[in-house]
Amino acid sequence: MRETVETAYRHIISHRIRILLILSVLLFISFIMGISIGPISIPILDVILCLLGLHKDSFAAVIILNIRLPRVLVSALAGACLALAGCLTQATFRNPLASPYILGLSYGATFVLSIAIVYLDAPFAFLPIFAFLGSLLAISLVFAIAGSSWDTAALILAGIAISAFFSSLTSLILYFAGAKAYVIIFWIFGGLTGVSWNVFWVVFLGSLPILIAVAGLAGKLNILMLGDDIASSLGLDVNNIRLLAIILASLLTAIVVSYLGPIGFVGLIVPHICRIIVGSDNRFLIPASAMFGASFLTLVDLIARTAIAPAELPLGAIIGVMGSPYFAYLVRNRRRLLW
Amino acid sequence: MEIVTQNWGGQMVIKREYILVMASILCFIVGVIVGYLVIPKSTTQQASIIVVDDLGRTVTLSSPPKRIISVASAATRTLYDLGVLDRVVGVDKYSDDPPEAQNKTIVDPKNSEGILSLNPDLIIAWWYQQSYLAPIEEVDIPVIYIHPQTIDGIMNDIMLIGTAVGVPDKARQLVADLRVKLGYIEDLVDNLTETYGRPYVYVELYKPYKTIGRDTFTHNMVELAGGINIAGNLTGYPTLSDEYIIQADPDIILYESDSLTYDDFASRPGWENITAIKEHRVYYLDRHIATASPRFIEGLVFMVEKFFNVTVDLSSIGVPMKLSTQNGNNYTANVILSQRIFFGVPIYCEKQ
Repeated sequence: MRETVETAYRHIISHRIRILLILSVLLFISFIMGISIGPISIPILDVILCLLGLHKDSFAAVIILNIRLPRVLVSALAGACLALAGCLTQATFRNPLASPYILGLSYGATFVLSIAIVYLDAPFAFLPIFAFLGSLLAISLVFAIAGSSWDTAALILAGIAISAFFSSLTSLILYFAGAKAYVIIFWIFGGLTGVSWNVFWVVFLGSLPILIAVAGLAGKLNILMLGDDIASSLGLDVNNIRLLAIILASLLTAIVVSYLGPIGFVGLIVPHICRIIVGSDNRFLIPASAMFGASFLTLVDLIARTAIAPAELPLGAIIGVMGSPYFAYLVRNRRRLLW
Repeated sequence: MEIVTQNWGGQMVIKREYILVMASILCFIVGVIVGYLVIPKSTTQQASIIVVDDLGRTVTLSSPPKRIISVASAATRTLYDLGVLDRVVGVDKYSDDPPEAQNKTIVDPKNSEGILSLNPDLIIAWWYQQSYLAPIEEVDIPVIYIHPQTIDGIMNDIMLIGTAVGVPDKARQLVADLRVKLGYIEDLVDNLTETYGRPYVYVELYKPYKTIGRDTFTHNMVELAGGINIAGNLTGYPTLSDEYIIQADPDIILYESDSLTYDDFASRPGWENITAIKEHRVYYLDRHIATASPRFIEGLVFMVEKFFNVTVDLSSIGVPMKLSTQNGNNYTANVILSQRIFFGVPIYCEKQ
């Protein structure tokens, strides 16, 4: 009896590890595709030579090394961050339909960014700081409003209030903004236009501590899923773990949103699909979501920049168009959701 | 929220996760600031051309550029007027003046790969395009951003572009010529407004009811041409209401959308009471002459002619040009510098 349970467990684990390996291969393939394919066609041989450091002076090298490589790296990193933020938010609110944006941080970011552009004339390079601070502002206000109990319902309702507040203020600013409104509206579309190595390093260094923190949290999130009573009786500080998870999710999302604008649905779709593939065990769900999210965003960005080349499709808009029907499908079939 | 907790030794320490949270915030903010300080790279090459663009950035070029990309339609026209259109290799899809500019490779400013594949050595863009030209700045290709908000701003940009492409003398001549013409028009408008007053003007852009506020150069043009912009107390590109326009009762309506006609305006609710509609003073304004290129002078002429029902002839106004014929003789054209209307009698001043 004990033998069969152990072997069954081992089977499941090795099955999941195999899936993780497949996902990492998928990520690698997306990476290669992202670097080789683009609005300007560059033969594969040249791509490999440029990556190896030869062919330094050709414009192909400049494109590959300075445009595509940072862009693919950032899209992979951003996809991973958003997917992880989605996992954490869904674990916290114990609802597979929660997304990292429900606490209104994208509206907070847009609001502070609009003020910076319209009234403060901030240099472009500093705008991500304002967006980031705007996200933090929204989250802090949500916590302040939700009161000392900080239960999930209060957080969501406070999130709705804050979202409405900031989005209305942003509308007012846009109304009087004049030509500068264009910059803000372009940011709202979301996308990886203009991503350079500088963007990669900031996003990487900013998200690295969070990724370390998340890695340590996987086991505790598993316990959290058993229910508040059982989790507390197993010694888990339920409220604090939940709050930590929200803070980490919000920071990951804030970092991505500051540079790329609000890109929705990645944090919703990716964890859900991964849950179907690897199950709800967070030790596997978290790496799986990260890798799948990275591949997902890289491939969608690839489509965005090649579909109507030389023009680009706005990333946030495409994902929204793809994601909303899927989200509606999830809402319809929520009784059959794996949770 | 417990950020601080007790460790095994009884001391109060910050929880490890929150240290990571603070590290992340710190890394991000410091990273952005460092990125800002690092990006304006110093070029070790000899800088033979140094200009300061409209965003205050110092841009250096080692030699006059031979492969220019212009993604600002006004700049394309300016490059043509400076005689360097042959050195332009790429334009954006809105640069249709002159029409032959569209024969160049059309690039999308958001597509850095397309721009880089043309191997440019200078890019001229609008001020708001900086966020997507960042990777190009990072590979040390000079980018110049223009942001003309007044007529003086337009002339500054002509000088800026001319200096950057290596034809400062041509640019100086062009600007001097424009200034003389501008002076002439200003004098003319002074006299006309004294006699006829200043008409109220409503300018409609490409979108219905969208007009120009006081911080735009089109507004500057209208006011210089002797009109009063009915949206002059607003800023940016506001959208007006029927009530506002009817109450302002403009004498002239200028519109830039080429799909509209007088009837479209006359059929708007309540508009039949507007002076401009009653007197049929509704005119199509070609956006190519109301833009930040040297053709703004044509736009000014158009406006003055429509505002005051006069004919303005600038053909003999300008800076004396040095002409040389094929057999090498040099001539100086006598050009009328300005024409003042003094008690209704034109007085000509000539320059030798």
